[in-house]
Amino acid sequence: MTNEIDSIDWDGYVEMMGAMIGLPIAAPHREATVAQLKLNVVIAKPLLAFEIPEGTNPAPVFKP
Amino acid sequence: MSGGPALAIASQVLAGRRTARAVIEETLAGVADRNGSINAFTHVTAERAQRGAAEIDAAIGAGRNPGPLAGVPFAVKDLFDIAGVSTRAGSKIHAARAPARRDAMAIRRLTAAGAVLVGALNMEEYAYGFYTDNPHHGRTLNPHDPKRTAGGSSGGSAAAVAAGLVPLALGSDTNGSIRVPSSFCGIFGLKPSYGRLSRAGTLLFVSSLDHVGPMARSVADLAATYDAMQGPDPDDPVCAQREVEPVSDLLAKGREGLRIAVAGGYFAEIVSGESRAAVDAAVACLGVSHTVDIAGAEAARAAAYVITSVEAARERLVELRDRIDDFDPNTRYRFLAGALLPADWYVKAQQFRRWYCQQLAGLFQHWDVILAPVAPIPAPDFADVTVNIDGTDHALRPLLGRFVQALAPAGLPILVAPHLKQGALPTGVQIIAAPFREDAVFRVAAALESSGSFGSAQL
Repeated sequence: MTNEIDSIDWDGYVEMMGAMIGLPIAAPHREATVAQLKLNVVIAKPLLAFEIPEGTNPAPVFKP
Repeated sequence: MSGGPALAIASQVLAGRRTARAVIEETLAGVADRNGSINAFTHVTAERAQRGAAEIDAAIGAGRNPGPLAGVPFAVKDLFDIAGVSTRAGSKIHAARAPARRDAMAIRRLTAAGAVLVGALNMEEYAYGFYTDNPHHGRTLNPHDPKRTAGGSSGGSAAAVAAGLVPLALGSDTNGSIRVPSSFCGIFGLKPSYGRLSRAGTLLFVSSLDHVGPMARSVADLAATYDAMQGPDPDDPVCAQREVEPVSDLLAKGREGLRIAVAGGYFAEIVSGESRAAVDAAVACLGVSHTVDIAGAEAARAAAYVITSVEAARERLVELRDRIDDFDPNTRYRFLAGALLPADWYVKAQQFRRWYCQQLAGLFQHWDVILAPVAPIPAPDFADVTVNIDGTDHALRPLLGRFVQALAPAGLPILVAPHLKQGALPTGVQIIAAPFREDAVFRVAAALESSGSFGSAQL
C-alpha cells in the first residue's frame, strides 16, 4: 500500500483535479491536502477491495 | 410508562399548575447561570421564548389545548434555521449570512405541539467530527466530566440535555452525530430512518446520509418529541410520504414479541470494558441469546467515509473556493481532499451501499432489533490522543466512529440508550431496526429503561 501511494504524482494530481473543478489548491494548502488524500487511500481500502456482485445498482437509484 | 422531565412540564402547564412563562423564565435563568460551565449554547432566543410562552398561557387561558409539549423548552443544533437568526452551522463563514426567513420544519412542528424554542447549540463546524471542539465558539464540555468531550457533532445538544438546561434538543446524525454525543453524555438519542423526519430548513452536510432527530432524558420524552416531528414534507425531497406513525402509545408493550439479537464480529472487536459492559447489560436485561454477523461492516465504514468526503465537499465547494482560510483547520483538508476524490470511488461506495442494505434487509427478516455498542470507549479526555484497548494503542479520533459510521450507509432507525453504572462514565447501546421500524427501537429502549439499568443520570 505504501509503495502504491508513493508511486502517485500527488502534486500533479492535486493540480490537475483542482483545475478541473475550479478549485485550485494554493501552495500553503498543498502539503496538507496531499497528506489527507494519502490517508483517504488507506481509509477507502476496505471498500475498494470489496467485491460487489456484478450488476449491483448504485444507491440511490434516480426515480423520475 | 412514566413521562420524563419534558412531559412532566407539559402536564403541569396543561393542568394549570405552572405557567409556561414561569417554565421559560426558569429555563433562561438556568442557561444564564450554568451554560458557562459546559458551553452548550451559542445563541439564546430569550424574547422569542418569552413571547411563545405567553402564547401558550393565553391559549390555555382561553380553553384551547396548545399541544402535547405545552410549554416545554427545547433548543436546536446550530444548523437548524431559526427565523431572524443566521444559521451558522458552527462556522465563521456562515455567521455573516442573512438571517433565516423562517424556522426549519422540525422547529415548526415542535412549536405547533406547544414546545418553546430557547436557543441554538454548539456543534462541530459543518457537523464534521465527534468532539465539538469548535474553533469559533469554543469546545463544549461533558457535564459528567468537563475534561472530556461531550461528543459530536451534536455535542451542544447532548450536553444541554444531560446538564438539564433543556429537557429536549434536536441534533443531526450523518455518521453518528446524534448517537456518539448521546452515549458520551448519557442521554437517549434517536437517529430515525433516512427520510422519516423532514430536514427542510437545515444546513445539509452530506445529503444522502443526513438525518435530524431528537435527544432527551427519557424514552417517553424522546417518543413524544419524535411523534410531534413526524409527517411528510414536500419541502424536503427525501422526506418519505408516510403518515404519522406514533410510538408513544406503544412504549408500554416493551419487548414482547420482538426478536432481538446482538451484533458480533466487527461490532465485538476493539471494544473497551465499559462499552462491552453496556452491551452485556442490555443483552442480560432483554434475555438475548443470539449473536449475528453484519457482513461488510468494515467496508461499510469506508463507504460512508467516501460518500461523506465527496458529498460534504460538494456542499461546501463555493466556500472552499472563496473562504478556504476561514475553515476549521481540523476539517479544511478533509473538505479539500474530498473534492478531489475519483468518481469511481463514489460510485463504488453507492453500489456497495445497495448491496449492504440488501444484506441487512435479509438479516431483518429474522430479527426485529439488533444491539451494538455506540462507541468503543466512553467520552475521552480532550488531551488524549490514543487509547489502549486490550493491549493495543489506537488513535482516538478515527476510533470513535467505528460502530456508528459502519451503520451509516443503511439509513436504519437507531436509538441510543445510556447504560447506568454507579461511578462510571455514561456509555450507550445502539438499538437498531429495519427501515421505518422506529416502533421496535422505542419499545426495546422502553424495556431497557424500565429495567433500571438504563437511563439518564440526574446531574
